[in-house]
Amino acid sequence: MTVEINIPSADEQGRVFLTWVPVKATARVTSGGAGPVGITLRSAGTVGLVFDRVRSDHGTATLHLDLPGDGTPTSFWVAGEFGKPSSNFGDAAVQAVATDGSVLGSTAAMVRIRKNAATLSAPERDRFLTAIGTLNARGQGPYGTFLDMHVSRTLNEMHGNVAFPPWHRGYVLDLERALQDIDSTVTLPYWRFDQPAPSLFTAAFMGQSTNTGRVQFTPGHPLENWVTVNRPGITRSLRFRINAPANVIDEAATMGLGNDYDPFQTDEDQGFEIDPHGTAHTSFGGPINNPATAVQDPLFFMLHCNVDRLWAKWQWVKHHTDANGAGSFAPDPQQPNRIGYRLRDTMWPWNGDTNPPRPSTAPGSGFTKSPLTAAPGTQPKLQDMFDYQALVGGDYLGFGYDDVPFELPAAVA
Amino acid sequence: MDVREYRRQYEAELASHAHTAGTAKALGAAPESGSGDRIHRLLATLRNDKEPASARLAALDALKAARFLTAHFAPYNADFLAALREIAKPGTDPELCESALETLALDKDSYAQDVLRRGLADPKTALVSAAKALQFLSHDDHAGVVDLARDIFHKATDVGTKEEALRVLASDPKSADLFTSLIKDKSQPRSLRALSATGLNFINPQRFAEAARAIATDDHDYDDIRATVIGALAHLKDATHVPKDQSFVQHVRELAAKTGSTPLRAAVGRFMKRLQE
Repeated sequence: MTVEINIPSADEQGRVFLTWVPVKATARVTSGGAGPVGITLRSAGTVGLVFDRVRSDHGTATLHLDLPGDGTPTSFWVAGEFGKPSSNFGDAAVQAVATDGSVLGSTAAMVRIRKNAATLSAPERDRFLTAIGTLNARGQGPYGTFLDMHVSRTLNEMHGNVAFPPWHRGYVLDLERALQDIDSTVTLPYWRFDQPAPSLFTAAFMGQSTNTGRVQFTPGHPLENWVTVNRPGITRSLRFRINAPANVIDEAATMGLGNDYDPFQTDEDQGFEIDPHGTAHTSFGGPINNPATAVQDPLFFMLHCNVDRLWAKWQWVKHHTDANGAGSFAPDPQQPNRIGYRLRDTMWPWNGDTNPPRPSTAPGSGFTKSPLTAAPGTQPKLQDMFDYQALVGGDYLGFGYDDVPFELPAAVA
Repeated sequence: MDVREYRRQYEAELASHAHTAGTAKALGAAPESGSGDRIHRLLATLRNDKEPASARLAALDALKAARFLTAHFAPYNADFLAALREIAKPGTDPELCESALETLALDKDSYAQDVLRRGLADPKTALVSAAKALQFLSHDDHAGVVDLARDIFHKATDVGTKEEALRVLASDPKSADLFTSLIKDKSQPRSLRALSATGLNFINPQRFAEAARAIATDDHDYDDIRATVIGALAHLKDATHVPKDQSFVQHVRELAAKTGSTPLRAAVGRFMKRLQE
């Protein structure tokens, strides 16, 4: 007797990718069954999965199902076990086991989660570097489009206003999906800038800075031929000791910036965008410390992945995942009616809008699609970025952080 | 892990931090009133040569962080750049001076570019090292420094300055001959050969592929430069330049088996994967 397990969260090659967000799956008898068949779903491999009959945040390591013998599918929900992300595809698997212990069916998976860059294994690190090096392609690849989205003439669209967190969430996700088009097993790692990360600033990873600020890599490194704005190489000098954090407030202080979006994001002197975001950038010499040139350095995206993680953490701890919930967002204090700063507005450049006050060009085309989810569509709105785990009616965006759990609101859980 | 227990632990950590917090950093603490006062206070500190250099550097850092709020900072930007020009002069603390010049150079400021070019032409007037001056000038394609960089490359004695000169020269197609000769010269420092490989790869990928082929098949050359060129071949966007003939591929494959160099084996692995795509 065999059981087919179908988890509709797969790439074009049929490989299943999960996060902490439960995905609805099915199991059915495909041969040999006569009458109801009792099976147990369990996690195999080195990475844990959790199961439930309903969408919940307290799945269990095993789940008993009675499958109809006629092959009718039976639904269940599956997610990665929080705190146990994958390192490689296939280190997680769903198994259907008969009452006698025999394995009736199995589906390999990966719990694909954004991780602290300092915790990556060498293979994980190298897959990421190869992907982003390929995206750059010696200055001729799609990375150039991402760079063009974040230059001096475009900055007012997403800096110094309430769109800063959601726009950058979209930006980081768009790039990550472009990396996953190259290698589905890759996620964007985050640079946890309030902790020492000496392994990040080495020749094997994001480069070691010489005393002139030129970044050196191991021979043959994927970023050794990095080119942006027609110039090869990366310039970056650390303005903090390599065994110390960057010059930023720590995560706890970031969570304490405000219980609501105003003042968390909107405080012009002490808000999230200034510190730790701005101060992380200015912890370096080199292009990354200037908003118009920062994307020339690929570290930009790891910095902003942490910025986004901090916003996600704040949303979780303050219960602010509902974009329309009190305190989750606030009208821009300076320009409350400016297009692009309101929840219902589609985001430049993915909307192709070049009418003033938007920038006069819109690099790229629509938002990069994912085989795992239809969200957020090709022209996402600001509000589409808030409920990325679909906790309160939003659409699942297909990513997660190693230290931000999936937790349903109390009324739903 | 139970998510509610995780929340409980995290909230307890936050509460503990709130009791012991002292995270107000110098010049980042609550302003007297309003954002404008804070920016003006920071600019005054930056300009004040009676203040210790550490305070002025902290002010500059705070201003650069505030500058990321581009629309808010716009009313102060001209004054900020003027302040930077004022402090980019002899007698200013070297670190402060260098940071000011870099900020101006990233903005493609013509005053800063003139200062940097004068320093390169007459080192007695230089405010930063030649390497830094070239690096800062390279942030603007129109800074007109290519000929100066070529001259400096041939005259400089320190590798750091030569490296920065080569980075500037990588924007000029006329540098192909220089890069080709450097790549092949085993007596050159490794960093200059690697930068030349990167530069040639950028301005003339076909010529780079020819040079890379010669180096990759030279068993008397160093493993690190062979790793650099093979790694670069793996990332060529235009696959037509990638050598794919059987003898070359076989030679590269055998390299991985023979070498003790981890970077070379890794580069060969990436090259082989590229061939399969």
